[in-house]
Formats: sequence, structure tokens, C-alpha cells
Amino acid sequence: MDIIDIQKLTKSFGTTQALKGINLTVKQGEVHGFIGPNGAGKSTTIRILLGILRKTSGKITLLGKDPWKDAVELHRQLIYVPGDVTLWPDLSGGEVIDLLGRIHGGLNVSRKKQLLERYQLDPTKKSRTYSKGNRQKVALVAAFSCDAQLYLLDEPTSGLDPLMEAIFQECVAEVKKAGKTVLLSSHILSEVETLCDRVSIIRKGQIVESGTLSGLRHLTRTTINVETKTSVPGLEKIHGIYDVSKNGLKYCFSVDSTAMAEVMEVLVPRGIQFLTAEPPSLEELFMRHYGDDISEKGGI
Amino acid sequence: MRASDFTGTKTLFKLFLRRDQFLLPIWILVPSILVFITAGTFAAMATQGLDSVLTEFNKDPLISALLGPAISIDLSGAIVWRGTSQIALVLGIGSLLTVIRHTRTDEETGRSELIRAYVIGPFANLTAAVGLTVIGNLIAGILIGLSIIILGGEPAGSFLYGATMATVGFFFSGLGALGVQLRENSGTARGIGITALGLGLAMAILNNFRGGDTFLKWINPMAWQRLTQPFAGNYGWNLLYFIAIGMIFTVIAYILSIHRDLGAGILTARSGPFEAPPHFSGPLALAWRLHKKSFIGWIVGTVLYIAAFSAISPGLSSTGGMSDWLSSLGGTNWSNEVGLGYVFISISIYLISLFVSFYAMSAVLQLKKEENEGRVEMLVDKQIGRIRWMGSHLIIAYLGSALLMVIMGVAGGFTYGMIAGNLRNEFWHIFGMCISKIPPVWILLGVTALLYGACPKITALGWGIWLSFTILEFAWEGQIIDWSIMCISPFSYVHYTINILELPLMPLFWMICISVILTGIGLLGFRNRDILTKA
Repeated sequence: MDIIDIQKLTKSFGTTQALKGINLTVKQGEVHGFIGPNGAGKSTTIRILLGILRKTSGKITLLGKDPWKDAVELHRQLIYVPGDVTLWPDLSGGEVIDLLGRIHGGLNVSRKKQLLERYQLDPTKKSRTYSKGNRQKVALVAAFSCDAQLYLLDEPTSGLDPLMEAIFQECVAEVKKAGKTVLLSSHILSEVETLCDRVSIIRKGQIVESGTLSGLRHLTRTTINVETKTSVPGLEKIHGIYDVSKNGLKYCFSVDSTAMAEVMEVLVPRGIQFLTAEPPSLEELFMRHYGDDISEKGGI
Repeated sequence: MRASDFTGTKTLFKLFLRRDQFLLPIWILVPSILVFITAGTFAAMATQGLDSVLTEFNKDPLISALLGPAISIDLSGAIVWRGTSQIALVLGIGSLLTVIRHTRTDEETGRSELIRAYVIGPFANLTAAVGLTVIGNLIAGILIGLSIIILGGEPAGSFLYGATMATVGFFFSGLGALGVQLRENSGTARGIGITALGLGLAMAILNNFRGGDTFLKWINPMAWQRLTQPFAGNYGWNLLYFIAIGMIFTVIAYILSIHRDLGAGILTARSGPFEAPPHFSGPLALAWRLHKKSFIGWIVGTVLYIAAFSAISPGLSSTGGMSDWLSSLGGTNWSNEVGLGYVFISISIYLISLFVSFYAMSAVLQLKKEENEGRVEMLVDKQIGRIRWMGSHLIIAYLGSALLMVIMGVAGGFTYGMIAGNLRNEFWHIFGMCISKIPPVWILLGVTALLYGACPKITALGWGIWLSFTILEFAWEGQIIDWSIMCISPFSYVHYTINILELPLMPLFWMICISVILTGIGLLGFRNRDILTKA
């Protein structure tokens, strides 16, 4: 069953169209990465899923129900962690965690204690004194102390240090192992790469790519460094080969996966001395989709 | 203290000026507007000559209990006599909030941290904030002086009065600057300042009740016009005393400010509990927790005021002799029959109930604060329907405002009854007066709930409505408007001129119904709109 099914979802705020026909499916038990630059519409999508924003048009079902109409009922089964946590200044972290857990319908006390330990969070401090990272920890401890079918995490690790980031990844892995579903919106591509089964890339209110990581990699280029015995004339003329640079008999270029066989046929007769092939990272995948954004702004 | 400690003061001053471009003119101009309004009401009343009206007022035991003896029997004197409390209150609140806003609030939000990383001396921020407030008060003082001169006052007295009011503002700017050093949250400083303002108003009334010449005029800035005596003694040297007091506060603030870390308070931060108590488990418990502090503050304030008023009012009944203006209020001579003390306590309860509606409205607007500051987002994934979340705060607002009136009734009834020596009868009269004001308070509550739920961008309209009901009352007292216009205000149906024993109950019932309907529409509106979230 699809936990989340979104078809042609749009959302307008006045005259600005934040979402322009999103399609997104998240299957039961998967960790789904939701990546895109600031202002692409990640948070808007998640807030529509939470039923706090109303869709303008399109079809959206969450666990087979309508997130706007059946919000309260659905919230029994989901947990949300925002990327910018604001807390009640006069409440201590411990009080906030307990309160959130109880409103959710109960939290696992021993698990809470264990999480406080792992995240090294002092729950006796007043919320106003917490730093950004510590506020985020409060929300994460509250979230993972609760039991839910679906975890909606909207850039949950912003402000966390790398050690805490690693603990967060452990938490998500545990949740996944227990068969729960996670929608993880993130900037940190290594996080998505380690955790996610499938990825959707959103840009300017539209999903531009969606699929498994390995599936997406087929769409992109591999970077190859090669040294041959004799020179390779006409290499740059092959369709699907890019950025060829030559230094003596050392060549460096990137190549579409579709052109890989042809490139090898050309290289092999020249006598390969040395070869490295780097698979495309998510980083590059990301850059490919935002490349024109970056060049528009005069970067790279 | 070196010159480099003040580096960047000018830049920060300009920044604060830019941030306050709408707020600053309000509290600078309102005092002068109050001067004209006060003059206007006297002009309207004094058709047979201002002197006779003032002389009569001065003899009236009720009015002189509240306002004390007039220092000078002319229009300028009347402005000082009637307008000082309001003008001092406006300048006090304006100065207090301006200083806090540019010091502790900036530290709380982290803006100071950003600023202090640049070439900014340790005293620059405090100096710019205090400087802005002092200049604001000076301008306000000059404008007050010019306004009275325009109305025909003699220049020396006019400017002395303006200067006196400016030093009151300086007092509260110093108090604010001192308050923000104590704790890491701005609420503490605001609490100290507002307590001082409340006490100041109460002490001013107490001082007036005792003839205006007690030691209280020395310690209470709201009574400082009795020291300088503009248009009478013109004792300008006293200004130095006022400035000295303001300076003491400010200097202590400067010293404390370098003995603490940025963002921290002089008093160490208290830590909270490791776990929440078992009953802290739902939206209502959370709402109560968020409202508790301010509610307790309101209880203390209300009880203090009602106790003071009801303690002095029975004593007024024997003095006899009442101005024509008062006894003819409402077109009946009910006030002649029941006695002055009774009229006084009725008016007091009526006025306090206007302030309780202020509480009810601000309690509803806690919802907006929670939404704007993004804390609702922590609850949106929980099994709390929108109606339940909004309802939790509304319950506190409804019950809290009603409870304030009930407590007021009990405290006032007891004090009045004990002192009047007729507890059994008087208690129920006073209690009845208090609880009869609950329905109109709830009307304003309902209006605010409707605005918040259906069109949250214009909740400020609620304050406008509150203000217009208040203005209607004063306009009617000043005989500027007719009773038929006064009937727009829901408070007119429980007006102090109506004998509590003969109060028609149907309007009260309808008012409760209207309040419930307004709130219901607000709840439906909230259910159908987007929740505001951070971008």
C-alpha cells in the first residue's frame, strides 16, 4: 500500500504558486528522501500532508485518508519534526518532551531516557536557553520516543553536529527496521544517500526526478580518469561524452551511462594503462538538476 | 569608561529610530492629543464658565478623592489636574517598552549577538536605546508645553509641566534599563515596569485621596506634578530631583550591564524539572501554563485596586454634597438616593471591568502569538483538532475573565461591607455589580475570537473596538454624546448609573448568546484557514 499518494498537487499563496503539480508516492516501510533547494516547496508539501495548509487542487491521500479532513485521526499514526523548532520559553526541555509525547497518545519512558542519553541533552534547562541544535534535539527525542506509522521529518538535523547527525541516522535506521515509513526532507545529501531507499527531487514546485538511487544514477554521468599507451583521437566526438580534458596521454572526462559501452570500445584498442571510474554521487545528481540555477546566478 | 566603549552608538541610534518609525511618533504625540481631549471635555462641560465648574468639582468629595485638589483654577490647571495620570501612563509605557525592545528583546532573539560582532562598544546599545527614549520624552514634553500654550496657558507653567512629564518618562526608561539587566527574558523587565506603573496609579489616587500632599508625591512619579506645581508655584528646581532619580536607575543599569554576559542576566538562570508532572498532558494544561503568570498578575492587580477603592468609598457617604454634573448623570437622581460612596464604588467597578475585557482580549490573542512564533508547528502532528487547540485558550480566556470579576466581587464586597458595617447587604450589591459586567467583557472576547479565527491579520481591530467603547463612556460623561449613542457599547447595559437591584437581565442573556455566536464563527473560520507558518 502507498502510505503517501500525491497526484498533481498544487498550492497557491495569493498570486505565487508554491506547488505546480506535484506527484509523489511513498511506499510502506521505505525511507523516502525529499530533496531540493530552499523555497522549492518541500515544507509546503509536508504541511499539506499535516493538514495545516489546504491544497489548492490535486489529489492527496495519506494512509488512504484525506489529510485535511481526517487530520486528527491521521495524527494518531504520524510524527512530525520541523526544521526550525520553536519551543515555549518558560518550559524545560523535559516538560516539552513529556507534553508532546502525552498529546501524541503516550511515549515510551525508557526509550526517552535512552534517547536523552544518546543525544546528550540536558532536559532541565529552560527552553529559551537552548541553542538551535538543542531545540532540534528536543524535537527529535520527543519524536523518536513516540510510536508511529509514518515519520515526516522536515530537515530535522539542521544545526546538529556530525556526531549527533550520526545518532539521528541510527534512529532512522531503527525506525525503518521496525517497518515504519519515513519521509525525510533534507539538504544533507550524504544523509539521504545513506538512509534513503528512494528519492524525489523537487525544484520550483515540481518533482523533477523520482526513483531509487541506483535508478537515478543511470540517468547521470560517471567520471572517468584514464591513461592509455597511444593517443585517442576523436574521443570528444562521441555522443554522450563531456568535459574532456587531456594531459599527455591522461584523459579525464564524464560520460553518460548510455555511452559507456561505446567509450570502452574506443579506449580498449589504445591500450588502457590505468583507469578509475567514479560513480555519480547524489551531489552530482543534484547539481545536474540545479546546474542552470547556479549558472543563472553566475556561480561555477 | 572610555570613548571607545561607545563606538557605534550613532549607528545603532539610527537603526533603532528606523525600527521605531511608526511606534515612536505614537507615544510622543498621544500625550499632546490627550491635552487637547482633556481641554475639549472641560470646554464642553463649562458652558456656564470654567471657573465655577472647577470650583464645584474641587468641592466634590468624589472627584477630589480621585484627582485631588486642583493646583490652579483655570483651563491649564484643569489639564494638569485631569490629564496627568493618562499622560504619565502613556509616556511611562512608551519609554519602558522602547528601552526593553532595543535591549533585552534584541538579546533574546540573538540580534544583539549579530550586532556586537561588529565594531560596537559595550555601552553603545544601552546608550542608543536610552538616548532614543530620552529624546522622545523631550520632544513629547516640548509638544505638551506648546499644546497648552496654544490653549492659552502661560509659557513658564506650560513648559514646566511638559518637562515634568518628560522626567516621568525618563524615570520609566531608567527603570526599564535596570529591569532588563536582571534576567535573561524580557518578560521580567516588562513585569517590573508594569507593576511600577500600576502601583504608581494606585499611589497617585491614594495621595489625592489624602489631599495631594503626602510623602507619596516624593516616591511616585505619577504624582510629581504636585511637586513642581505648574501654573501655581512653578517650582522648577524639583526637576533636578526627578532627573537625579532617573540617573540613579540608569547608572546602575550601566554598571550591571558590564558585569554580565551578553544574553545572560545578573540573576542566574533557573533550571526546570527533568520531567513534566503527570497532569501536564494536554492542550488545556499547556494553555493554562502559558496563561498562568499573567493571570496571577491580573488577579493581584485587580484585588489591589478593588480593595483600595472599596476601602475608601464607604467613608465618602457621610461627606455629602455632590456636583450637579454627577448627580444628573444618566438623567436620574439615583445617585442622590444611594449616596456618594456607592456611586464611587459603582464607577470603580465599571472602569476596572473595562480593563478586565482588556485581559480577556489579550488572553485570546495568545493564540496569535503561538501561531506567529511558530510554536503551533510543534503540535500540528498531534491528535489535537484545530477547534480543540483554539478552544483550550478560549476556555482560559472565558473562565479567567469571569473569575477575575468574581474575585473582584468577593474582595470588593467584603472590604466595602466590612467598612460600611453592613456586610450582609452590601456584599451582594458589590458582588452583583461585578458579575453583571461579565457579559459585556465576553462580547469583546467574542469579537477578538472571531477576528483571530476568521481574519487573523486584522485582530488589531479588536483593540480599536475596545478603545471606542472606552471613548464612548468618556464622551458621554463629558456630555458630548447622547445616551442613545452610548447604547452602542455593551457596557451601557450594565452601566453604573443603573441600580444593580433593578438591572434588566435579558440584555445580559443576549450578550452571552452573541459572544458565543461570535466565538463559534471564529472557531469555524479557524478550522477552514491555513495555519501561518514560517517560510
